Amino acid sequence: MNDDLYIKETKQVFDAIVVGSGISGGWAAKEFCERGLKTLMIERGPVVEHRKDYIGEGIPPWQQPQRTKVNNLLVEQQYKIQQQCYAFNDATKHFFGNDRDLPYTTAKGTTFSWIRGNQLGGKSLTWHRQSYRLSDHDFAANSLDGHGNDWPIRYKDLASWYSHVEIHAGISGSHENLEQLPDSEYLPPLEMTLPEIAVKASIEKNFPGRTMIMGRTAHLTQPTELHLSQGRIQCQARNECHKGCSFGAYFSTQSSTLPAAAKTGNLHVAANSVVQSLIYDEKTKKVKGVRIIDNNDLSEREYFGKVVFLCASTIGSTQIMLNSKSKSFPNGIANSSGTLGHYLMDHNYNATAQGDIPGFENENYRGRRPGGILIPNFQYKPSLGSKHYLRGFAFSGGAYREDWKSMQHADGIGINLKQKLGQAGKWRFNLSAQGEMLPRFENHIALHPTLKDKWGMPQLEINCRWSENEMLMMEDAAKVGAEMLVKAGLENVTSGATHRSPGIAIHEVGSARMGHDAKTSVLNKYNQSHDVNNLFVTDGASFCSSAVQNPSLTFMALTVRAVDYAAEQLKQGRI
Amino acid sequence: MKNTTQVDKPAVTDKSRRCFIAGMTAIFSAATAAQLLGGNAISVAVAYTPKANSAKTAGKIFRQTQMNQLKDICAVVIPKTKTLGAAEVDTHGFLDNQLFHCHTKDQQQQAKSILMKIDQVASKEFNKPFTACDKQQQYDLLTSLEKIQNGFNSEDKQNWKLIKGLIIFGYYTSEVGASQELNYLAVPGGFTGSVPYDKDGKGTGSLAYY
Repeated sequence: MNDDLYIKETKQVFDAIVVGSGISGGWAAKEFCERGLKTLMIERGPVVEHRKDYIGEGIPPWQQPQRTKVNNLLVEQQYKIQQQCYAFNDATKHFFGNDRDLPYTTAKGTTFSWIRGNQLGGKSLTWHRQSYRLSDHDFAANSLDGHGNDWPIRYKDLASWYSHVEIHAGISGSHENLEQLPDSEYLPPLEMTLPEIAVKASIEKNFPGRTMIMGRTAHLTQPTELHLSQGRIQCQARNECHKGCSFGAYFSTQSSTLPAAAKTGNLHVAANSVVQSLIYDEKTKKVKGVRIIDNNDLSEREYFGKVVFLCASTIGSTQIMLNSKSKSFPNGIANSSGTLGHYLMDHNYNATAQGDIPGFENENYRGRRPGGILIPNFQYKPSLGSKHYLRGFAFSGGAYREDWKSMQHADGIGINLKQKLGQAGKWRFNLSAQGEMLPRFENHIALHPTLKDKWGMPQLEINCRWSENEMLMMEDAAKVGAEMLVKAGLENVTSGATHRSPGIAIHEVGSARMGHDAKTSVLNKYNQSHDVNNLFVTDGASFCSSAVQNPSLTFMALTVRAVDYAAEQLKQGRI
Repeated sequence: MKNTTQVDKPAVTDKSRRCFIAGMTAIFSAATAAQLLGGNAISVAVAYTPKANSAKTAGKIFRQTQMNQLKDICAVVIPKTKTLGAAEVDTHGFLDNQLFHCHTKDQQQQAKSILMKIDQVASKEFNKPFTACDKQQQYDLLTSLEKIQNGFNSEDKQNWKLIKGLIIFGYYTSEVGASQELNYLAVPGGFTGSVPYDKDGKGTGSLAYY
């Protein structure tokens, strides 16, 4: 690692500027650096050092100020939106954006939960680590039913890049040979419990075409020599991942891509650097650098580079582009198509089914498994779809024994209660749907005409809502989930659809989509701007459809593929 | 105090246990690894520290008499057995602190009003305040509250659930509740999908992540 990894002022013209340090930015930096290119990674928030800055890690509840709960006033004033995230608690709150400093508005009659992670490592520190490849059914979905534009790539374009990132990151999973969910390069899967194995058998017997598999996670169930050499070891099943993991047992920028990038000596990191806009050169028709507002003292500076990768998160990258106005691009850089900001999507997490599993009283599990089961989308092509809505959904979930926490509100007092709470309770099983959201032009983000944040950036106005298609899908998912559980012999099965805002799945994608046609899309098949050939956007903003799968693994694969292309173009002098 | 940075024995096969240790040692010494897990920035000093005399002084939201009443309620809900109970680990002090920091004014009022109601019913039934009742009377009274009898109504039960939920949360997140009454596994060492359930042991591990 070079001594001056972190920099502030510099006149250097870098080969590559990477805006963002999360899952996509970490990969972009690693790949550029390993190709010998001088790279600057820009992060708007503070530095988070692996291990040292995992300040909530390993602290037992009785040593936490409010036993894991966050102070009421603090939530009210600074984390009102962030606290909607399941991973938000007193030991993780420093890895979430501060809502007071990061205001945004939503169009009348709409809500959107924008969860932020503005620090080195971004949301790679707090993600849920589910890792799935997209299939050709996903890449073809828009072209088959006419919603959204056709992805300009197919599975064969990404397959080897998926492998490339999986081997380095470490993905646990089982070979399933499913056409809608291609296999990855695997470490051994996490183990299922016996009740889960029973439910799996029932679903596969009673519902042909459906299967239940162990979720695929970026956890080192059995580290390879490569992982050990990265300073990472086997997952210890604490399931406290969101606090940061000193074992490096899950993939994050800090555990995996940043050390690899830093090792080359080609990496510099500019933290606390809020990108205000991209600097466009009207003569060369290229981006020549970025304008920065200092996160702390609000002073201004600039950084220069030959190629710029936006990896600032779906909405973050689009915000920067919308705010990069010039004579050639009065409505935001690379926006000759007028589609920048449009076709924003998220996953729809609005249906659950749950019930009691009778029996298995003498059966238990040990450790806290950092992931659950998955029922992959079984409506993955039009011929398998519902008559009432388009596209499909998957279920995640799992079995567990009730504990004192889930029995907290049961009746009873005294010795009997204490005995009961000291024992494992009955087995429960839950399913949560994650549905595809159609790409719609109306779902968009735009700069607010007057409101600005403390850095002087125009605030965003988000206008995004579920359509009838998404709502019908969730009603059906609740029904379908309950049917499978009842058939599997569960008791007291309940299910239903909920109405949580888009954004809360934290799978926001789209708003600077790829496409074959420069008139209807922002990026080409290499995530390169149609309009400005040294500008790339490789995070979720580039998605043409949401698919059903958790998107992060595809952010990684798209990013490394784009770097490979950009590096070659640089070498050839084409950009 | 239990050394929470200690790596508990993982229930894994000898072979993978050896691999684990080999892996750990390859990267950093075991002592260093333990330090990494200690955490440091959420100051222990600002965590609620159990006190011996909470019931004898006014709290942040409860009067002294209410603190004393709450202590008795804690003792009835989770009594001392082989391990200490909720009153002995100052769950009443925790509850006062927690309500003050993490709950709304409405919820604080809910808590106060159920304490008042319990005293009213005690006076009616036994002609004395709750704290002057004997253990059996206290137990019967709280049981009738759960059953919505003896003049307790469903709103009282809602208010009671808030208090009782907090007593349970406070007890099982205390050091005694989490690491003696339950089996605190800071570092399980890996996940095993199927193990026999031991009814006599501390079958259920306490959660480290809530």
